[in-house]
Amino acid sequence: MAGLRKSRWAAMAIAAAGLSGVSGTPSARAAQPVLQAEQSTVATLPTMSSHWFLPATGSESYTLYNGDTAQILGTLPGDLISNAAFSPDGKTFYVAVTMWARGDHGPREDFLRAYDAHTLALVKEIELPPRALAVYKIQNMDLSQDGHWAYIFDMSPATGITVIDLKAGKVVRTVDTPGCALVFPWKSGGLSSLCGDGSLTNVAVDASGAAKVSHVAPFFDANNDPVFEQSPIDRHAGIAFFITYTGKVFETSLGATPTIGTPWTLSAAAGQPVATTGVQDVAWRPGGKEPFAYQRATRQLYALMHMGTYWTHKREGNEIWVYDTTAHTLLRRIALPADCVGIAVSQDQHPLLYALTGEGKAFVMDAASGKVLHTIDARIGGIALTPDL
Amino acid sequence: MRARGVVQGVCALVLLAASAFHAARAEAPRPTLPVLTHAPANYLLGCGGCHGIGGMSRQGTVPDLRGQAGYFLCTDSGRRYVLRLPNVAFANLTTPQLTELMNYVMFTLGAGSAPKGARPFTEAEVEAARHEPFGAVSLQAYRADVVRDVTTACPQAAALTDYGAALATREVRNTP
Repeated sequence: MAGLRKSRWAAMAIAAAGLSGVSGTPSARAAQPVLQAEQSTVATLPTMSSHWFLPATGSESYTLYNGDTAQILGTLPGDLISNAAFSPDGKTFYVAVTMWARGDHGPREDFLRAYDAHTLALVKEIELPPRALAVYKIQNMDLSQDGHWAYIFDMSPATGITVIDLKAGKVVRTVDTPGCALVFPWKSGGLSSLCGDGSLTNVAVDASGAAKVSHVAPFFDANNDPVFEQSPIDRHAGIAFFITYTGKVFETSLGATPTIGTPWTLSAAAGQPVATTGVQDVAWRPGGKEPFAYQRATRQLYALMHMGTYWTHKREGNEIWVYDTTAHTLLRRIALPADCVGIAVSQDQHPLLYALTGEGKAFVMDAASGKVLHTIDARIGGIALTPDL
Repeated sequence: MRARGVVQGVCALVLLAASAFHAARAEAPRPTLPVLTHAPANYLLGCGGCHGIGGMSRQGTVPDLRGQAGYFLCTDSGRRYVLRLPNVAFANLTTPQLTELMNYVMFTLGAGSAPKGARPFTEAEVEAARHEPFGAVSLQAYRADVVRDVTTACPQAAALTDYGAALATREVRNTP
């Protein structure tokens, strides 16, 4: 107690000496540099680059990075139940948001926010019917390639799609997709939704926003070897790669009557024993929160792989395997510096590969060599989006 | 050697303590845990998450089953409607299990709502309907038609319209 009192007195004495010093020595004051008034400016971003990437960060934002330099370009608000998308022309970011007046209860509001990609200014908010609230999946929301429509998955818990006219800034309709989930956009004119019986529901959306729904026969076994909800897509070609938990790949050309290819298998294409649904069958399998990425320019599929039994489809991976989706062959295996839960890839001719750990790190790699160019440690979540310019 | 003796001694103590613990547990009265039969267990696993463990959930967001589900047995179209719902038809259950589950929902959870003399679902009926799940239809519009017929046949089923009315306020032009 005595010591504490003593030190307090000492602090006050130093403060008093400081004050007298300022007022008592005019010559010292004159020697100080004249402070310049700060000029504040508002920066704008350059044209969007294929090497930008947008990981979820913390629990309340997405952070926009330049993958070439690993520097932050900006921040977009968005919590764990938000969904983000780049507009196909690279000029707008969209974030679908749900919030309650009193935080965790009270009147609920759902809306779609549009941000200008140069200024990050909030330019529009479009009211939405209640959308599905689920663990983040990229295909909870997507846009048509002409940038005219946004499609958002609803689950009330009856399942459906909200069709939004982005040009008019309003919702045009709800389309029921009974027993089907998520949004896989076609090359143009609609979207398909994955169904609980192993089939697809296809929703054609015409220029007026009118919808026509069709259905295909089941092509995968939803009870015993379901496809990942994180199955990757080529938005420009309207192709989805529906990949099952054992690694069967159904390349599907989406449309009102989808063409579903004969499946090939990730393990067999790598010369490995074929992974089965056996609960004791240890094999190389895909897994994680966002375990796939498709690179359009090279037609290569990136899969986050681990050794495990059936039903380890959420386990982190320690390697990324890269496949030629035309020849159905493994091109290379990339060993990761740490176990990762999600991957993403840029869509240009010299792609960057992003691998995200479950503990806040992102590795930015040269996709061709697997060389780690940057390690970012900044509360990175398990999901990242890349522009598909 | 001496170290090993100490380790063995400690192990013996742990074992003694463990057996004393087990003896104490054996003497304590066994708690009586509820044992669920198949249908309620399958209901909890496959339906209760949204519909509520007792068949009541968030009103207007999820249809109530308690005291209401059996109303659908008032008409043939109502009987068929509940079996063709995708989450019923796609259930990872055998047809006998699914039949037992749906009769539990209609007659036990929905107690008091099934019309007098309503027949339980047969396995043949469930098997046929689950091969025709709702696909390319507006489920909301279809349900509204079914409920209109049910409430005409059984005026006491009027509460079934609440869910559809609440849904209509949230959806936008959800028409066939």
